[in-house]
Amino acid sequence: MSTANDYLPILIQAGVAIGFVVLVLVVTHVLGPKLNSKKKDANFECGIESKGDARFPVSVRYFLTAILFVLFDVEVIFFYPYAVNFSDLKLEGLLAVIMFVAFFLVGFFYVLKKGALEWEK
Amino acid sequence: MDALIVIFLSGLISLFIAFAKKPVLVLLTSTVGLLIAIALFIAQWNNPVTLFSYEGLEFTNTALLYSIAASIFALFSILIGYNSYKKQPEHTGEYIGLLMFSLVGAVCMLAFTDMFMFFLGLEILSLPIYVLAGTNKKDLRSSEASLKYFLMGAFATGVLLFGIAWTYGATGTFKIQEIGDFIYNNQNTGIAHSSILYVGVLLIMASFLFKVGAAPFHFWSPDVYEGSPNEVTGFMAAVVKLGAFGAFMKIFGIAFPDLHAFWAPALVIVALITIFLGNLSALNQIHFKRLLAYSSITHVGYALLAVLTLSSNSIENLWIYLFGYGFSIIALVAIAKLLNDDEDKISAFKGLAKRNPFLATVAVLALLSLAGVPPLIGFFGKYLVFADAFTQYPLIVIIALANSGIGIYYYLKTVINIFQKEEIEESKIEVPAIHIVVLSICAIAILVGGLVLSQYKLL
Repeated sequence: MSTANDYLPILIQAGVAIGFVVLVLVVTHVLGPKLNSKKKDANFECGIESKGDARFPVSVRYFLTAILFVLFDVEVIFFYPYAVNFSDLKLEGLLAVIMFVAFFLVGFFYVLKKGALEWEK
Repeated sequence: MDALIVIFLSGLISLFIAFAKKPVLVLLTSTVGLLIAIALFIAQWNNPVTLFSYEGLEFTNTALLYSIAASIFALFSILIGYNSYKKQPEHTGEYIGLLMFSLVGAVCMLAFTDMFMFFLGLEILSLPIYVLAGTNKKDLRSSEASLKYFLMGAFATGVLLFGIAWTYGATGTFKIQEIGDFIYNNQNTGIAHSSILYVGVLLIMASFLFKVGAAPFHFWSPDVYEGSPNEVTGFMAAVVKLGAFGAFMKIFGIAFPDLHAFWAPALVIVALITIFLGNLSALNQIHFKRLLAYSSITHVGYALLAVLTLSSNSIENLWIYLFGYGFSIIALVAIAKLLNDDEDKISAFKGLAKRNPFLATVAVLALLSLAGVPPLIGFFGKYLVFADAFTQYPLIVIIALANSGIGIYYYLKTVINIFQKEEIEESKIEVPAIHIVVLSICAIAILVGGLVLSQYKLL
C-alpha cells in the first residue's frame, strides 16, 4: 500500500530526535561552566553515605511475587478498554471477557496450589 | 479446531491432575488427549465442518497432515521422557503440560491464515521449549541451553515481528492469502517490488532460518541440543522443525510465491552453506547429541530445497522428509537416554549389539534412515525432495547428493561403534515397556513408512 517514500517523515523525525539529543549533550558541555570541587564530584550531595555493593543476592520469592503481580496488573489494564466499550460490545464482549478472566483464574488457582505465594516454606 | 482445544484442555488437566502426586494419571491424561486429538484430525480430513471454528485458523488437508505428524511426535516425546519425569512427581505435570502447550503452538503455526495467529503460534510453541530446555536443573549445560535458546529466540522473534510490520506496511494486510493476491495483482508495477516489501520478506526469512536452525543462524542449535534433556531434544528436532517448516512453506508458498525470483537466490546460498557446514562439523564430533545437532543442520539444508522448489508436490515431499526424520531422531534420543552416559559420548554405543540387540537394531535402522539408505523412510524423503528440485536446481541437487555421501561416513561410524566390543564389560540394558512400544513403532515406521507413503498421493 505504501512505498518507501511515505516513510520519509519518520526518517526525518528520527533524525530530529537523535539530532536534538546530540545537540543538547554537546552544547551543555561547551557552554556550561566547569566548577570542580570535592563536594561537587561526590556521588551524593545529601542523604546517607552509601555502603556496600548494590548487587547482592535477593531472595527469588521477591521476583516470583513481582512477576505474578505484573500478570494480574496487566489483566486489570485490559479491563479499562473493555469498561469504555462495555455497552457496545454487548453479550459477545462479556463472554469474551469471562473467558479471559476464567483463563486467568485457572492460572491463579494453579499458582495457589503450587504454593508460590506462601512466603514461609 | 476441535482437536486443538482437546490438546490444550488435556494439557491443562494434566497440569492440575499432577497435584495428586500420581505421575501415571498425568501420563494417561496427556496420552488419551493426544490420541483423541489425532483421531479428530483424521476425522476432519476432507471434512471441514467442526464444532468450533475461528477465521484465523483453517485446517486444510495440508495443515491436518502436518498436525497429525506433530501430535504423534509430541506423544512419543512425552512417552520416552516419562521415566525421568516420574522421578519428580511434583513436576511431572509441568513437564508434560508444557510439551502439550508447545504442541498447541505448533498446530496454530500449521493452520494459521493471518500473521497474528502465526505469530501467536510461534510464541506458544517457543516459550514452553525455552523452559523445557532447562529442566535438567542440576546440569549446568541444561541451564546454559535454556538461556541461550531464550535470548537468541527472543531476538529472532523480534526480527520476525519487524519483518511482519514491513510486509504490512507494503501490502496493507495481515492475511497471507491477501498478501499473495496483492503481490500477484501488482507484480508488473513497482508496488510489489518496493524495497519495503523486500526488506520484510528477508526479515521474515531470517527468523524462519533461525527457528529451523539453518546456517548462518545455527549457532544456538548444537549447544541447545546437547544441553536439553533427551526427550526435549527429540521434541525440538521433530515437532518444532515440523511446525517451523510447515509455516515457512505456507508463508512463502501462499504469500510470497510471486517474489520467488527475489528470495530464491538468498535461500540457495543459505541452503548450500547449511549443507556443507552441518556435514563438515559433524565429521569430528565425539558427543552423540552434538552429532545429531550438526546432522540436523544438514537435514535442514536438504529440506530447504523443498521450500526452494515450491512445486505442487513440495509440501507433501517435505512432509514425508520431516516425518521420516522425526521417527529416526526420536528413536535415537530415546536410545541415547537408555544408555545413560553422562558425557553423552558416541563411544558409549560400543557393545550395544551385545548389551541389547533390540536397541541396536532400532539404532542401526534410524541411523541408516538418516543417512538415506533405501528402502528406509529417510531415503524416500530425500529422493522425493531431490527429484522435485532437480529440474530447477540441478547443480545444487548434485552438491547435496555429494554431501549425502559425506554424511554416510559419520552415521556409519556410529553404526560401527554399536557392533564393536566395549572396553569395559557392561551389564545388559533393561528397556522399560513404554520404550519398547515407542521404539517398535519408530522401527516399523522407518522400515515400511517410505514404501507405503510413496505409493499414495496424499494431498
